[in-house]
Amino acid sequence: MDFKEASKLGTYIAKEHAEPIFRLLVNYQDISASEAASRLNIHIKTAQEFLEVMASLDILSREEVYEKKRPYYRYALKKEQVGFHIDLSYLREPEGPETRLDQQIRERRNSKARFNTARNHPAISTAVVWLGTGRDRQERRINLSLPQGKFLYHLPFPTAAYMSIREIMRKAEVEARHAPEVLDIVDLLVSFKVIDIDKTKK
Amino acid sequence: MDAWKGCWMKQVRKLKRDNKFYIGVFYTLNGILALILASTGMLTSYLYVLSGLILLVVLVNLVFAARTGNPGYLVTAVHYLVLTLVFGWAAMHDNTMSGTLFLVFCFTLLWVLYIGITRKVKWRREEILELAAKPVLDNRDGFTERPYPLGKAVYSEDELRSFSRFLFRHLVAVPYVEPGRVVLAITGHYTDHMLKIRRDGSRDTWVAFDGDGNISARIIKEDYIQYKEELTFDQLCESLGNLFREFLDLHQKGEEVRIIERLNELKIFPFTGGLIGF
Repeated sequence: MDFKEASKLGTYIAKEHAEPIFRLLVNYQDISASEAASRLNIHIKTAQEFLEVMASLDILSREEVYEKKRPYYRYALKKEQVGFHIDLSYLREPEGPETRLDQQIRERRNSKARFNTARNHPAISTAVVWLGTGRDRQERRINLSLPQGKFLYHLPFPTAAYMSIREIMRKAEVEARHAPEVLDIVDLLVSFKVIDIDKTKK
Repeated sequence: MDAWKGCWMKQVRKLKRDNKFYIGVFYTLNGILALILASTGMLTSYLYVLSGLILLVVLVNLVFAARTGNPGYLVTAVHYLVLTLVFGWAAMHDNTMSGTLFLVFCFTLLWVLYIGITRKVKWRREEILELAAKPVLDNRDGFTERPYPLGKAVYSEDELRSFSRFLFRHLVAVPYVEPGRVVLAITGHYTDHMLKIRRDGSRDTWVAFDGDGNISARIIKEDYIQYKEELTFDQLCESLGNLFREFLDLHQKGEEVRIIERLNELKIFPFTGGLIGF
């Protein structure tokens, strides 16, 4: 189950009519949307939507039947255990390519970002970036983890030579296991035009 | 004569001209104002007010003396106290001058001018920024608000404390002890720091030494734009940090006098930075 499916399931499970409909599905062999709606005194569209979503999530089976030449669906419970199982590993950043750590970066000239220094570490505690222009301008404050803050503290200045992410991590004494969160903040600040990547080196 | 010429000789400077108020202007303006008020019959009131205001200056100088440990501020405090008495006497005696007080005033003025010329009560922000800029030849800008990490130095907690105290006494930097580090604020807003209006170096250019031997330097925009050119910023920060690393080294060797010599070598006009003692 991915986040989208889990979100859909969560949304419908939370509805007031979810438990009553499931009670019908557990005790009946199968049921139609109109039967469920009339039994529970809810709108037929409400019942239909719920049953359709559960079928799309493979919790219910759906069979098309004909009555007086009008087709409709009958729904049956496929399993009596319904749970959330989300595999989060797909969200992990591809630490991959070691080549990412060899990317040469430095702070962008005139980035207009503001960096607040941590009081008891040689690290940056927060980075503040202004996004948008004119009246739509908004302040975006990013609270940094300690490894990220130590990394940014050692980020080369705009006029200094580019340095690889790996080298900056070494200088900042940030362990390799923190590489994913370091790469995450680098990607974010690149998107905010705070960090420049040296495109001449590949 | 050569000493005086040397005193005023202009060296090639990278900072823009300091437009602070000069002591001579203060006395001149007050003299003109006194003449004008004398003709309108308001001189006595003005002398009382002036006397009261200068008494506040005496108190400020005593605060400076107590906080920095710099004895020069005691001299300026005495001078301003005498000035208070001069104006107070005049106000109480039909705007006439006491001969004795006037002589004492002249003596203390000469004393103040002497400590002024020898830069005993001169805050050294300009000298520090000039020395930091000296080795920087490029002007590629690149300003950033982030501090510049300079790597490590070797020092004990006692050495750092002693070094900070020395710099404070000689008006080079205002030290602030923070958890895990000492921040040396190089400031033009020394009155705010002395009167505790500013309570840390967060709004000033600073050099920091932490408990693990790490040195870092930060130059604020307000100071950076004082340079005539947009000096390459990372080089400037590195130079500032290395300057203090050098100062620390001299202090550890017991050669503090060479720190003062380096600052004085620039021969920056001694009366910049406002009135002496304020």
